[in-house]
Amino acid sequence: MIKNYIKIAWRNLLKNKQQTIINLLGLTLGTVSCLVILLYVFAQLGYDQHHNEAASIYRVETIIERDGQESFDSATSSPPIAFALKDDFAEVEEATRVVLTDVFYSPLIRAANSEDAYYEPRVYLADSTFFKVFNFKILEGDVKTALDEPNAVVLSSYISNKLFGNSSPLDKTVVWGSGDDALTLTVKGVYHEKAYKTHFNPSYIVSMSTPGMGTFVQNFQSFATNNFVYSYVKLRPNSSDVGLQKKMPQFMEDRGAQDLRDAGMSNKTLELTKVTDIHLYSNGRKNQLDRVSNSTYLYFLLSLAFFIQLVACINFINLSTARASKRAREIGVRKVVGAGKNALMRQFLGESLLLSIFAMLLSIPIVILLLPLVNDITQESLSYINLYQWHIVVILLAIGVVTGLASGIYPAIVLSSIKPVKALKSSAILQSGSGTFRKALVVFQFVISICLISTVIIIGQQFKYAQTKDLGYKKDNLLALRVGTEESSKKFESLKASFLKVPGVLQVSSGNYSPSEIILADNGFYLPGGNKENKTVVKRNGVSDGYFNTMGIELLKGRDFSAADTVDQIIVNEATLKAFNIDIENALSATLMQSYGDEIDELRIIGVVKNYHFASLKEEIQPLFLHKETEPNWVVIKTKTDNYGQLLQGLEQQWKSAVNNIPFDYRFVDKEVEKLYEEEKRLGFISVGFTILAIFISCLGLFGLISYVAEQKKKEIGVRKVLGASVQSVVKLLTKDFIKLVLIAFVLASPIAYYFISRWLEGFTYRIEIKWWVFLASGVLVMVITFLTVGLQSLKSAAANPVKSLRSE
Amino acid sequence: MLLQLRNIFKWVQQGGQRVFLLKDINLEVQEGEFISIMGPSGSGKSTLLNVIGMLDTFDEGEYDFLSESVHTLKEKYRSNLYKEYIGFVFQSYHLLDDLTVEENLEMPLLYKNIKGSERKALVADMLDRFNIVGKKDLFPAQLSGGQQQLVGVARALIGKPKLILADEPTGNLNSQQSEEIMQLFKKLNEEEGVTIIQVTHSEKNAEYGSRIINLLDGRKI
Repeated sequence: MIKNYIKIAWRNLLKNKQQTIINLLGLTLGTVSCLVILLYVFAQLGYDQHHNEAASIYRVETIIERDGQESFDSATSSPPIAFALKDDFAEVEEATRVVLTDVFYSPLIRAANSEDAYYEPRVYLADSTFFKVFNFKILEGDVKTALDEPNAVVLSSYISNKLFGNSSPLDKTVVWGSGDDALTLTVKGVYHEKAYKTHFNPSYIVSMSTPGMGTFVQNFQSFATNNFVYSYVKLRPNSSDVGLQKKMPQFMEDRGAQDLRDAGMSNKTLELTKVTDIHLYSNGRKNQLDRVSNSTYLYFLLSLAFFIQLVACINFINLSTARASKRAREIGVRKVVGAGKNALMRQFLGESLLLSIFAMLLSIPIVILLLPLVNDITQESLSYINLYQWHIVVILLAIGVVTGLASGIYPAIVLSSIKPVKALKSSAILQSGSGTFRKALVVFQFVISICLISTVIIIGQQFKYAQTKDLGYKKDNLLALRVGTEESSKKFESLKASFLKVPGVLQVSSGNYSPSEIILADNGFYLPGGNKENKTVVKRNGVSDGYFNTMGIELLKGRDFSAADTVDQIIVNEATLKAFNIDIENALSATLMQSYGDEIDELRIIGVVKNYHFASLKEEIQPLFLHKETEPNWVVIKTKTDNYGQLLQGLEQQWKSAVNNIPFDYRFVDKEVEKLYEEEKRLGFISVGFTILAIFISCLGLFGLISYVAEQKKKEIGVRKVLGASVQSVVKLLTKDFIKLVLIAFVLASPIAYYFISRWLEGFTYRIEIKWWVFLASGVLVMVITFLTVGLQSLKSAAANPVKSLRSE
Repeated sequence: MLLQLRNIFKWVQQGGQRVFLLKDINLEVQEGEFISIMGPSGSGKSTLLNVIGMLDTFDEGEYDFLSESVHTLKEKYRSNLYKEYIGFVFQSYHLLDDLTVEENLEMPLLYKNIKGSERKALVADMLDRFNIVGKKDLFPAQLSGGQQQLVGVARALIGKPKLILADEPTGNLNSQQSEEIMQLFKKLNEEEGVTIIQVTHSEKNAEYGSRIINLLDGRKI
């Protein structure tokens, strides 16, 4: 029986080539999209799953409630917290801490026997317990003990290759830092940095007991301040994280009450986040170790895949029911020789299943071919091996079966309900399936298309806006150069003088942060006479005089820094004035207070700058103060040249002659700003791709439908033409129904699209307004595409010789 | 007795009025009969045949088939009943274009859930009996009308029905082909005792039967 069904299905597919190609193409494209997106989603879900007992590892995060403002949520916490948790609670089996040194300095690293030094971002300091809690793929060394001693380092294979080539680096030495601060570290192990997906992404890991920042962290005792440490705890099996979470307020009270009061942070609490949730569900937390993703992106992508597959299913439903009259006779005959309704349902479902499973099989090699492109867009490293994970195989199979059933069930019901008496009458014209239902499905397809197009337009507008919005400073032709070491930092004034001699350099100044870099440093302030236990957090950046000029930041009030200024004179942005309720007219007579314990400083405001976006546009501009810095981390250079090659060469020459063996590490600020929106850009790119795909599949379906309608109306067209109808009027006859459907879809789609787009835009603090014409334009575009698809086919039928169509009747 | 129709009425509503397709039909058919139904176009011949074949319903009256009351049966049982006992032959053959001769013959057996080996034997038997073994792999479009109808009859017979209903079986055939098909019916009726009811326009074909029923405007005359 099954053999017979497959045989019939196969012959049927071959016979209706156009319909088969449309359906197969649609379903294959849909399945390919589903598969690609599934692979990506599973890759994203797989972060940090590989650690032993990953489910019982937590990161301890800090929440600071602020009056009238959003709470400040940070992925980090104070240094002593992690091990205090281990001491106090039996359920904590192990604790470990990570410090990202990039926040403070970017040390150079070189092999002890070589002069080639490198800046490497993402350098971690970690406790000796680090490798006991977390699993890395170890290539060399015994990592269980690797970080036990001071001055020990574990390298990623990438750095190992860079410093030592192919030879084993084990027990060799590297020089870390430069000048007087340089340390000699012994290599105790090498790990493969790309073996697992994890939120850790270190270039190399230095033992916490190494002198410097590490020992500072080890000896620091306050539970309130210096919240820059990533603290992790591993719970014993069967202990409750909820239970531990409930004990946190009491823990902070017991251990840190005095510290918190001294620091004015009595509203600080701790929260445990599953290490497996960090990548997708912690993007509300600031100060992440590395870029994290957002689960809503995954939901968005999954719904895109769903809609594309749905559009393909609708094509199948429409074309199968539209062509039912073609198969009516077969159904009649089968019923007469004894086929029951169920047997026929099975047959038709078998046909749709055959097609969907065929599409599924086709999609596998296509996806494998597409993987390089997908990896390029998503920055993932997916390979065909990912395809053979059992859950992917199971889901793919489920997609094939569900798609087959979803697209087959309605046609199967319609077709198997055909009455044999009617079907077998030779002159019978069958009104098969409900035309209204088919129209509703077409409208639904149009709705999807219009929603997708308007979404894509608005996503595009928002990106454009983000790229062209006045950031409050001039990012074009702005160059940031990493100073890097204390040695070069001290030489800033002479460097400045020599850079200014290079043709094309207009202005040179400096800051502790590169212009688009996320500012992590902050101070807590209160107003004179105010409550020192209730401080307001203000971001901090140290700059040289001329910084505002170089950056193009407008000074609203007061003056720039001068030679006589110390760190007690500060310049603030408008947001700071607002936070402290200081009127700009009185700003220059105002002071801000800071305290630690009994020590109190008073800082005088000497200038006010216009608000500028020192962070991503997704965040509101926060209060910021600037103080004078004589040993900066970054040189900021304003340039004007047609020949950047020459300019950079000139700068590098000056740099090389001023400092020894420090890499010339520069970046263009406008490019860096663009990087802040990389994920959105990627998402935008993917949405555009899938939108085009969805519209293409819809068009395929429309094309199939109009061919059918034209064939059905062949006689009518013939008669009309004989009676003198023009080609235009025939085209109008065929297309006007579809145009009506587009109009209905437009009315339905606009509010739906508006709702979802405004939800998406809410994620941006600085966003465009949704303009009404976007929806109109999407509607018109769909109209035009429809008209082209339907019109071309109708033109063909309209131009046909009427004598032929009438004779064949 | 094979079947009995008692006071069968069938009508459609048209502009608030009933238009009768069948009016008070009473009919008894014994096993082994060969009946011809005659009458002008629109007199209800095919409708009557469809009612007997249970492909169509009626609005009033009673219908017993092998002592089952058809009018009280649910559709599923009705279709089981005709699947088991009735074979149909059509004017336009109604073979499936996508299937070969052999596959067309096999189809009724598939729906009866007969095993593969038995199906093969039955089909081979039928091909042999109708002398069309050489044509078994051809598609209907490759056959002449007479040959197609031969396959149509073979398909109707393969399920070993008690009753064959033929709706103008020779309507599309030339006289020589007609003659052959009618001879075949006669032989089946006489030698194998298959009951046959045919609808025909031709007096000559009607003569093959043992009884003629004349219809006019849905009424037996």
